[in-house]
Amino acid sequence: MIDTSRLGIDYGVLLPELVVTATALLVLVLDLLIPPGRRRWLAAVSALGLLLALLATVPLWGADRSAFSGTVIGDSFAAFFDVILLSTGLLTVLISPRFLRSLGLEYGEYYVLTLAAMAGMMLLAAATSLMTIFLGIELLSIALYVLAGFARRNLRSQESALKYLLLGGFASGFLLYGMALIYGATGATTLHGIAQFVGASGSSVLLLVGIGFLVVGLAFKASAAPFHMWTPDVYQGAPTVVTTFMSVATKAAAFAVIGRVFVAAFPTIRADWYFPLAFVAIVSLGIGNFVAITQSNLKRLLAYSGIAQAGYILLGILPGSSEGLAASLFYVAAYAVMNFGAFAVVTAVETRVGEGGTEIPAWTGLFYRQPLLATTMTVFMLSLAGIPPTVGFFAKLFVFRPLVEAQLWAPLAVAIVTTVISFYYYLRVVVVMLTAPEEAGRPAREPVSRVMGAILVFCSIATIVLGVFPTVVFDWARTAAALHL
Amino acid sequence: MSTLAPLVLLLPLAGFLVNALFGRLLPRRVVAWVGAGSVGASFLVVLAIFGQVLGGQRLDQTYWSWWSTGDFSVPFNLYIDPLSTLMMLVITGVGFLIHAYSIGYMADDPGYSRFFAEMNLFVLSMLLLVTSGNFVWLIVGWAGVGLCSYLLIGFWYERTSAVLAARKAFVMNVIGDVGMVFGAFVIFLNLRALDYGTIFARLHQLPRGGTVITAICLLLLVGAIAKSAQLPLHTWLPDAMEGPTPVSALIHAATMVTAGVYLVARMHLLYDWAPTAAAVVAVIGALTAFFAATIGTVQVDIKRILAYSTMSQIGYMFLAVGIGAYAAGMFHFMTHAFFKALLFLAAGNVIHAFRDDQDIRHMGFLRRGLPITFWTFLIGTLSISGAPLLAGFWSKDEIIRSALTGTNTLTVALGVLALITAGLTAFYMFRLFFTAFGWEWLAHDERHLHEAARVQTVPVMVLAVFSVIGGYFAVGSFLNPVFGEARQIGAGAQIGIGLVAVVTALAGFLLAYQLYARRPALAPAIQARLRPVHTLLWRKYFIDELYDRIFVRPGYALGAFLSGVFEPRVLDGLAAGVVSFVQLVAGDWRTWETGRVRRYALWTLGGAGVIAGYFAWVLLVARSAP
Repeated sequence: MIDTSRLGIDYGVLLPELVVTATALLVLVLDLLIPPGRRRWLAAVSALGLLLALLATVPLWGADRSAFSGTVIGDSFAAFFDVILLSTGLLTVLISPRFLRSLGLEYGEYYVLTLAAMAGMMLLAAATSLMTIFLGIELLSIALYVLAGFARRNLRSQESALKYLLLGGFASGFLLYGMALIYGATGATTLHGIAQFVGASGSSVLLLVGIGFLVVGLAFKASAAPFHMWTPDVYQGAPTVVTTFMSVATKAAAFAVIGRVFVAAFPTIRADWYFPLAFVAIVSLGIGNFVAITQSNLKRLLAYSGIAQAGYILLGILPGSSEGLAASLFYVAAYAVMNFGAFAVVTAVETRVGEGGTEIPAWTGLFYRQPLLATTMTVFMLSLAGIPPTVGFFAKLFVFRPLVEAQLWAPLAVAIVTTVISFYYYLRVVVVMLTAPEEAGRPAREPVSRVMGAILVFCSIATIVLGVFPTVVFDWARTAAALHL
Repeated sequence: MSTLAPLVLLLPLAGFLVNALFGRLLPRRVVAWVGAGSVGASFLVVLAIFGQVLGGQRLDQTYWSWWSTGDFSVPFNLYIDPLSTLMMLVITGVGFLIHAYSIGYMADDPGYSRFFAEMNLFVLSMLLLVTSGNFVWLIVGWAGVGLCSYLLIGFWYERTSAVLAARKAFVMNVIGDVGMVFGAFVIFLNLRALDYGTIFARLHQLPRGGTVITAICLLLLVGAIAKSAQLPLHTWLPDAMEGPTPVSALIHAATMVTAGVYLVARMHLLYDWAPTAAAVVAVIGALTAFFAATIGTVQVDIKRILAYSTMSQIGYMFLAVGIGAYAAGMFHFMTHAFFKALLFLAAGNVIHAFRDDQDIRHMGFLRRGLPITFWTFLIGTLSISGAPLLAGFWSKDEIIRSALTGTNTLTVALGVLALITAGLTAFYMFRLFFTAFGWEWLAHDERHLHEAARVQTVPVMVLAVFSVIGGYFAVGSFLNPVFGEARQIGAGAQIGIGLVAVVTALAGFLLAYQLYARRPALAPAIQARLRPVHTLLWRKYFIDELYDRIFVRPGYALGAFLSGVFEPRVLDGLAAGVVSFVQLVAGDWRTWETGRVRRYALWTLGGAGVIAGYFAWVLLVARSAP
């Protein structure tokens, strides 16, 4: 008999992940059993599973349960990200059926893959070892490669899947090589072990190169520049619901790892990792905000906006303090709400108009045709730009403040200048929607589906309410950011 | 108390929301009930709080924390002590009477529900202003009352004069708001706190009378004088009379304009710590009192005379809080709220009777037609003039006494000025009374004036009662816990100064009686004799013209220059330059996005190269250097 207690087997820590995985398997089987006309029941089952998983995160709050030989942990940090990821997944599943039907893509695999990606992301939020991190990243990536090419007859979708796969493999190479070097330098794969070694012996050449490669791999997943090149093509080509999910959840998961690794495992050598992360942040802010200006396709515009937003989130990591990390976590939550909302509006418009619906000219006078879509989109755009009283304002304020305290003036200056530039393209969307259409007779109003309407209203109200009462979430973020290993 | 205090705020808020959102759909009766009822209910809650405060209870409770980062946090805390209780009592009590009066006064107005919604919002903001326990919410309330004042002055927005008056009030108030915000900012910079409790506790870290504390007090004073229409930011108040009369009574007489006095009294520990700033408060108060009273002697618009009178009386309050007689200032605030609200509401009845004519020279012979208004207005006039044993006598007397028995020459000099102003007050008030209400009671009246409806006369009568008995409320001892024991003055001095004040007021009354009741022909003759003086007062010391020359016209000229020359030539050029630069960069960068996977991979490699290069530099150059 093997003494299992020494392995630290504690399934409770992974309960949310297990629930999601089980739901995925259940949906896979159900897909074979139910007739094709009833596939939206699969969405209902998936949603139910995600809700259960959400419940399963409750015991993790305030816990500090390291399990499976220190490879995963159940703590507030993991729970914080689980809530963001699960909520995003839930909303995605809810808006999917109608969109998929409009493209003739109503297949059960969609839900299986989405749930699998979710499981990978949640594993990342809980991962405390290089092995589990890699496992999580591969799990989410492989599912997303397929999802990006889910529109099988659409050439762009195929192209985006292939690009994502090739470049993703390339980045995984960096990641894995970085991990190998870190292991070589420290002789440990768990973050706890690495932190102990680094705390005792400081950095070395091997470790630094390893960290550099790790940054490359993670920045790729977070679509931060200059490792972002895949983002616009993939976002544009993938089915819009997939883009919605990817843009929010993948980024959140990547930042869960970045936050845990850099703030918790390498706090003693902040001077060494500061440059690579600051470099990535500054380049992301610059490229994201500048290139977004010239985009004529909304999905591409939001892709560059997402690159810039990744830059803002990184800013909170730079000081290496838990207050800064809390700011980053708050930003991730804010980003999830507002960016999901923005992409959901794009999904709704595309459901109506068809593929041309993502081109900006198609949005002219949207306010007069679909006031709900245009109004909620305005809220999301203002929030992404960071205008009070939306949550985006406080998100920016909170990440800027630790920079002031740590006196990191260069990233702060870049952030402020590029924020001003970003107003141009965010507000341009609003202006386009408000511009009256040229043709004399206004087209009749087209109603939005009830589920979509409810979700959009929910997201926009959340965007404003969190802008008025930011403390609620910020206190959670603080709890979550008080990390242990 | 901790549950009652938010209720005081929530009731007017509910009234505001109902009338603002559904007012147009509801019948007028309901609008009126909601509008006046919410304030009345709030008053009942305040009475309950008053009882608890009398029993010695206090409250400084944080209900929720808006946000906090690092050592900076913005809590929402309510601060209930005798001072804020007194303010709440007057705001909701007098406020309720004025709301009830408005039911009749605004009965035919198409903007009925809008009126009540804005009035309720005002009451909410004003209550927030006096109950807030920190500067952030004080400023929110402060700006809120300014906004409501702006909206209600311009209530009849189809009149150009009303819109201009509203704009003027807004601009003047914003100047004050800026002062306030800067004051709060300097406080935070130096004391790292915005809530009163901490500010008061840390106050002594600052040197007494030093630059910092003086600057704080003066900046706050800018806000106070703008809100309270004191020199030199006073010109908006007479124009504000463009609003409906209940608005003038509530906002521009009883409550909002006294916010400056409240601010100084609330921050009395700060002003005690900055004697120079306190002296400035006193000087501004006394000068305004005198200055406004002189203008009041020649004006002919009934509401404008009352507006100058308000400025003058608030000047008294400023004088009081400037010389440290805080309780006396707040006492006068309360009695003034009674008799000035009374005077405005009664004037409103007169204006209605004369179909919106406000010129006192067109009025007269009101005793028959409007008996209730006549007698109540007389009571108000007597009270403000300082007739013995009425409310105004006690409170004004206390201020004059405190000043005259002051320890330094400046205070005594200001006291003398206040005494002279008391004479002027009696003069201009009785001039108004004799001219508008008519001393010659026996003359025949052919105009068939009608008394206002019951809903308008009852509030006026209630206020008249308080204008008589208000002087016997022991405000001073009620406020003792806040300000400490008042300085004791000997009985001889007390009676002596009281007598002098009465005699002065009597002189003013007799002069008015001679000129405007007994020998009406005399007034124009004297006016002709003193033409330059009369012109100076008639044109209000030419201050509006002065501001027009110094600020308004150069402002317009600057605006014309900016929009005509600077913007099209310089700014647009600059903007076009920036835009074309950004677009150039963006367009250039965009071409990097070629869609070719190999290029993309190269980028990744390049990025990794930069990072590797940096580490190489660190390891080879930076670390090896000694």
